[in-house]
Amino acid sequence: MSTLSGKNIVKKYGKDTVLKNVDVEIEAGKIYGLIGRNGAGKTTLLSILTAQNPATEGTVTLDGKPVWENEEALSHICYSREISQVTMFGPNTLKVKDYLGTAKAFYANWDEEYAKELIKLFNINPKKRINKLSKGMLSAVTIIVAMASKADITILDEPVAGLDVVAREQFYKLVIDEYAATGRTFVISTHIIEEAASLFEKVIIIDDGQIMIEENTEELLARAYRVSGEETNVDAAVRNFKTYHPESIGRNKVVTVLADEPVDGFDGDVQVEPVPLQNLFYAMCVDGRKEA
Amino acid sequence: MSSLAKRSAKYYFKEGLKVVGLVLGLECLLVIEWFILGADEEHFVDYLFRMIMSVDCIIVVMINMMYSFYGPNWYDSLALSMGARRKDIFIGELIKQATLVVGNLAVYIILIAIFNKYEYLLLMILSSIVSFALGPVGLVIGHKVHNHGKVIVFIIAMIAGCGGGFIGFFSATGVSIGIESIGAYVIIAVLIIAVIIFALFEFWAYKLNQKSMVR
Repeated sequence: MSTLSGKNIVKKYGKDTVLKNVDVEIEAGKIYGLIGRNGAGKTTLLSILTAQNPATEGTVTLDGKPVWENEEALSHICYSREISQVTMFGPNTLKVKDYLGTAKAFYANWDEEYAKELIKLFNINPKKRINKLSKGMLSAVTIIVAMASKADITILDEPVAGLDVVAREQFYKLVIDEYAATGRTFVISTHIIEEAASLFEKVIIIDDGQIMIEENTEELLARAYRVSGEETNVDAAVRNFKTYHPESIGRNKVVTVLADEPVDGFDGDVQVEPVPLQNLFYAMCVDGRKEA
Repeated sequence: MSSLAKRSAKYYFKEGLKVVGLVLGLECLLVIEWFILGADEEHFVDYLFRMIMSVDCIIVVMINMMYSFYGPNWYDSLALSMGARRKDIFIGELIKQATLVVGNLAVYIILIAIFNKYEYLLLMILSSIVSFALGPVGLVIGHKVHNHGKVIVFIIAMIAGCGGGFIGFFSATGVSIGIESIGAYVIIAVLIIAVIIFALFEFWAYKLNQKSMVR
């Protein structure tokens, strides 16, 4: 069983500290959701965990052994990131088949037949150049690399960006089927939270370079509540709880509560509803700040 | 050699072969042009051979440096994103450059032997050595250009252009710039300078490579 572990990870770009003492543990055989705002540090964290970017401080290990420049560790990991259509030198004129050919060259367990199936499924023309692909097709190529790599720990950075709803559902089904068949570990970073939330066994929420939550999704949502009612009643009901993003509408108030443990009930005349993951994430990130 | 190292080496060897194909393809296109331009030349084969050799000397140096320059921010970055190790990428770049230079040289040695034009052999060997020496220079520039911007490329192009103009002026006007007195030592000088440049820049490229990241 493989555990990918990052301890005290700090990443600085000049004077900017992008990751601040991040500890994260990716256990084998689970599907993780990594969610965070733009610029929160998701891609930086993922690239450090996969040795594609050196950390300023901290360690990354796989089953206790460093990942950096370690063939054994790297052979278990695939990080399929967003493909850029533009390079420093102009348009990215690499053909899809050459891009997949590079993946095939480096991933020891590459499944060529599966890759061909996925190319058909997503209706990709392998002779097309990357700079000529639509956003959805770029995402599809990212997904093909991730799935066909057959890596034990497969990380996808915003794989559904640009995909239509049919393609997104196809992707989620692919992940579930592959997970059921092989028990591979998936880490999926996405902004389309609500669609993917049911997929995530564990969720990692990152904000401003720090991990806010790393927890089993069901357990997290079991202790998250949306409490609404008259302002005085709400304030009284939630006074002993950690609250986020209070909103007042006239005499009424709505607040998101994240308790330490599931709560049987709240005191007073208030309405209590469960909070979807997306709304919880929004409340936690927007709380106390100007709303974007 | 570990299996990842082998896969990396194989990948870069294939990339090197592709670049050899590119260089030879470019030459073939130029040959068509020279056929047309030199059709009425008295010694057509000599003319054609002289053109092929003199242009290939330049192309192999340019292409090797150019593809090395592209490496850190494109091809090597792609390999790194697919799980390659930095040291395998560094060795892979050497393999790719060696494949280009040696492959190109091998083709021209065969041509030289077929047409019995051994007077061009030294020229081809020297240009291969210069090409190999300037490969790591391209790599270092490729690593640095991300931080300093493409203006560094323009600066280098300006220096190279001015340098070429300077040498061309003296060559055309027959004014001596003193290097004629080096005479037979020029080959040794080229070798020594090439080795020094190669060693220094490869060491620098290695250091930059160790801290490289996927762009």
